[in-house]
Amino acid sequence: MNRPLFKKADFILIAAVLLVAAALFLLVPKERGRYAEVYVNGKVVATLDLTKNTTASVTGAPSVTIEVKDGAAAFVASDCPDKVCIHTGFVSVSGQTAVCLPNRVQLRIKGGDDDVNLDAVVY
Amino acid sequence: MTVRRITSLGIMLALIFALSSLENALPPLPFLPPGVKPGLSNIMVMYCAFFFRKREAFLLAFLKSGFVLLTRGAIAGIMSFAGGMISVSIITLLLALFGERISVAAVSVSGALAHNFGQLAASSLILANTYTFWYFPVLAVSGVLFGIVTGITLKALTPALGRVLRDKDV
Repeated sequence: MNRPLFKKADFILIAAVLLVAAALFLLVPKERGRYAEVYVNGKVVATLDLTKNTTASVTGAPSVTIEVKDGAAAFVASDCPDKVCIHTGFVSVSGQTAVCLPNRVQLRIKGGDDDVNLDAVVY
Repeated sequence: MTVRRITSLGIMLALIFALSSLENALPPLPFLPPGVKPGLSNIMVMYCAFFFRKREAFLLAFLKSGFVLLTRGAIAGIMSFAGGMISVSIITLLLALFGERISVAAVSVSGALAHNFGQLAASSLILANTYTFWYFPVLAVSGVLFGIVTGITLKALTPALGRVLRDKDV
């Protein structure tokens, strides 16, 4: 193939994408959350206090179990084929989200400085 | 359509199935974020878009998601379809717009980014909210990295693939 692997313009494209990704990453405040919301089909089915260690199955998705431990929450059991939810591990930062797509379950950490409000972030 | 062309497309599809299954059978690599995969089978979809007809690349991506649907279930199939269709659309669009002037890496990185974006959009539809876009920076960085990896692999494999996969009899 005569087509080159890279051209000069590619590095500009790549740098731009990485810059945007880094900016988005840095803009989101990294605060520990206070509670975790559990969603099934986009609706909140449970709110878990992160200060109380617990293990519970999800209402509306009984095969899914979520554990709260030491201020963090994680999927610990699920009947889904890929187990991406479990591999995500414990999440604890406000805004951080773990999902189990096949069961349509979402675990979202909330309440660092309550909801993420970019306009209010000052460094 | 020559017999050689049909056979070549069949081999490409078989390679896509094999690479997709291989990638899925490997345990998740510990240093990779959850759900992130190299996307090795996209090498063959790109090869098809580069050297065969654009609509044949669409067909391969479509059949790949059918294979994922049958082997890994409905959600995986939908994700494969969403990522595959938007990715092959961007790849063929870039090739149509820029022709020989665009580099391999520009095509493969754009394709990988489009794939990740399509899957993020599909997951938002499945979960009925947009919270997974929290993951966008991670997927943008991994799209760039694995786009470069698949681009290098495609460029390196092209001479060998070209000896087997072609349109006309020799």
